[in-house]
Amino acid sequence: MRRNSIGQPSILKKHKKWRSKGSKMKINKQKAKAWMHSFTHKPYFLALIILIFFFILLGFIERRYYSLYNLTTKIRLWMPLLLVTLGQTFVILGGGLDMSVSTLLALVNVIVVQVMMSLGGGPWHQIIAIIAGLTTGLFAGFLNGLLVAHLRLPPLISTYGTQIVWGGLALRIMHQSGGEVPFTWYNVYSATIIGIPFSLIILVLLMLGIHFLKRTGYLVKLKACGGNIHGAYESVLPVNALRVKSYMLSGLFTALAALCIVAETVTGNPLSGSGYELESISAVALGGTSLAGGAGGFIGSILGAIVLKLINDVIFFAGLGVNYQVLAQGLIIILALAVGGQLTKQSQKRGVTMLRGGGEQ
Amino acid sequence: MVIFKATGVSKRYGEVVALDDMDFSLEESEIHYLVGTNGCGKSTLCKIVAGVVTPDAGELEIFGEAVSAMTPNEAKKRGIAVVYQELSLIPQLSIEENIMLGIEPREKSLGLIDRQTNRQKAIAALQPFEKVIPLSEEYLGKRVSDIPIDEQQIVEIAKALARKPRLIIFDEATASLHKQQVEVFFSILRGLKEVGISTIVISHKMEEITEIGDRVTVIRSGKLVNTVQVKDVDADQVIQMMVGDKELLERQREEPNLKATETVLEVENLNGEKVKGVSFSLKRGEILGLGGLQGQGQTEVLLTLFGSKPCMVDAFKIDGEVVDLSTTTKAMNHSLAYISGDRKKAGVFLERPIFENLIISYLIKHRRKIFSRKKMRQQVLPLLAQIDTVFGKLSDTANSLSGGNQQKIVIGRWLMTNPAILLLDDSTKGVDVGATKEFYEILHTLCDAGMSVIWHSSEDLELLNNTDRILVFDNGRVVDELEGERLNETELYRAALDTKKAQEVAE
Repeated sequence: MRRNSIGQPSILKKHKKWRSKGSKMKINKQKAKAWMHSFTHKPYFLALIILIFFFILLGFIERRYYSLYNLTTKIRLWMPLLLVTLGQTFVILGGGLDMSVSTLLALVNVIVVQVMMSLGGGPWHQIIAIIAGLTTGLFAGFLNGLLVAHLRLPPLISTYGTQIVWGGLALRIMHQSGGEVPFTWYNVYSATIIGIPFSLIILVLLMLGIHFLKRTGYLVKLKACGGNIHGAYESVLPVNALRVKSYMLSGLFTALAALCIVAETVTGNPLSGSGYELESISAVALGGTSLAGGAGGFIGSILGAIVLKLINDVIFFAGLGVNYQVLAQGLIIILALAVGGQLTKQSQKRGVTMLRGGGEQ
Repeated sequence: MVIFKATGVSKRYGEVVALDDMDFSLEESEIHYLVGTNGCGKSTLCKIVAGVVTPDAGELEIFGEAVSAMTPNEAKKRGIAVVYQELSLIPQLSIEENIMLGIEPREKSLGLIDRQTNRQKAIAALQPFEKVIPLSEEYLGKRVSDIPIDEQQIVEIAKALARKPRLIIFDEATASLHKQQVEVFFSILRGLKEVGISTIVISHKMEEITEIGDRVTVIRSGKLVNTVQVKDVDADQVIQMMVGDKELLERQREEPNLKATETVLEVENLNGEKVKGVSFSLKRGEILGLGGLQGQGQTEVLLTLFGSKPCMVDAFKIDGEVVDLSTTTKAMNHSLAYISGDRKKAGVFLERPIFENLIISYLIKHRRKIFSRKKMRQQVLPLLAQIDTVFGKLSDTANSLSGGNQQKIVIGRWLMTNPAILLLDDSTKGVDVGATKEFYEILHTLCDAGMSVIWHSSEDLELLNNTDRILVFDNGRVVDELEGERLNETELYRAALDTKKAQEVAE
């Protein structure tokens, strides 16, 4: 993502350059070098390759996988994880981690349903319910941010704590699944506009929003916090505010994901979203974002999340038992992390040690 | 006009006096060099100017305005920029992003970053370095972690310049630059001077001072020695001011045992992190000092010898035989012992009893899984008496001891392994004067008994007073070897600061 803004030539252009350049050996060497460069400098490269591989594989196993109907359904089902992963990406880029997304999803889910039902369920009531849900997400993120940025608590533990709190609140509000929202929610959510699924439009709009954030300079500053917090202080960045905002964005995206779940299931469930915290973190990591913070991007996170979902489909269509899904998912995540992490680490470590090296006290 | 003025400034860190009644003033458009020996307080002074450290006493005046306390951010807003040796860049961001971080120009309409102006400003900040970096659009987009350290240093300087400061402090900014880049750096200093910006430069390179400095302030042990016009002095005079008039030698080491001519350790062409082509030999019963300015590779030499840092070497020879010292266990089995100055991090197990602290290395070396506490106790007690340790019970935790006694426990632990070569890495850091003296005595007795010592210390006097021979390090290389008559501070600094000689050695 970062590369694009700088206008570096894409890999394709480089290909043309070599062809005009000379001996075959040289071409191969440069080609290998460029491939390595793509791995280390385009964080989403690995996820993209795995995704294409799985997608082709799925086509072989099940021809109908490519059907328009299937794909639009899939996108709709993937949306919650995609959104949570996007939110998680902000936090991880800033050097944090948000473990509380899973139960926040449930909390927003039940709040939306409960508010709507207690108000009566008219069109205005539905809008109020949506606003209540989004506010909950923002506020929850704000609290996480306070804990991590201002009180300097370790992100993993403090957001794990809030995860339990949100979960408790969700059960307090609605102790078992139930409630009902108008079926129009589902109709709108699953609608297509000139053949394009509504959920895909939301995703594209959100990506445009993220691009806008990038243009405001927010993302660069956030990455600076995650990359070298000492240097960020040195550059007079409002480090705490930047990190709090990243958690609020995570909360907002999680709330949006919760709205998608409400629309899909048309009901409230205080236990929805379990497992999303680790799935979203794995997806972010698969997408090439460094879990230490500072480097990575959103396209990668989307690809990573889709790869996670595709693994399940591959296993399902290959006729293997559902029990294998979890096992395979775990193995593939470890494999991808090992390969991707090793590659990006090599390039980054060199820089970091160079920066840290030397110096009288 | 006086840009910055400090009168009677003092700063203490616990027992240590970093600055004592220091006066300093900086004129407009002046290049002011700040020099002094290791740990004399020049960095503390710079930190006070930058607002990082608040002085205990004294008055500060910035741009004609009296200031009592100042935060780093306030200092930056007043136009004070610092270029540290340890860089503040973000390795994962691009050069352009780093230079413009936090000061991106905005469009009027939506408040978005004005990319074109942003790019132009970044280029403008790097423009002065055009000759030494491949300045182009593509270069600006490179990640900082992908460019070499000297270029990172240049980016750091450009970052400071882009913030349009009125006063810049360079804390050894030229340390990692090569000759051509230093020249460009000088031309920038001159350019800054022309537009009325003042600079404070900390540097150990004497010829730099005479080439470009206007005034030079010499600090010794936290006190102002003098501030003089550079044109009135030469390099030798500056060194003399740094070191002082009288030689403060209280040599404790008696004449080396000349009979001991047997070579214990030979190192041939050692290369590694911060170490470049170091060769030396060590005789039985000898104390060899590793001296020079701080951080010139001395610690790294000790760590590679002890097998805890990777290295490339032609040969390590102990008693004439080529040995493998690639891991700490191997080093220990070849009778090496390493005592770090960072006791808490790499020496004592604070929460464990004194007894365990003493026997742990012995047990590892002799691969003892089962042992009799009673027998070990019998071995430990005389040793503790020998090194004169004050303690309550053997079962007390190491925490209960004073710093000096903790250090003795570390020494005791290694003596249990019966080492032939002791590697000391600033081992008396944070130990009080009395205990330090005892430590010296213990060392001397041990050396008379045939042990050899390689000793790196940030206290120059400690080395001069206690060693038989000093290797002077500069940038990872041995530039000089001091022995006998030449073991004095003036010679040590002359050797450490002689950049011409260092270049000769490098070539």
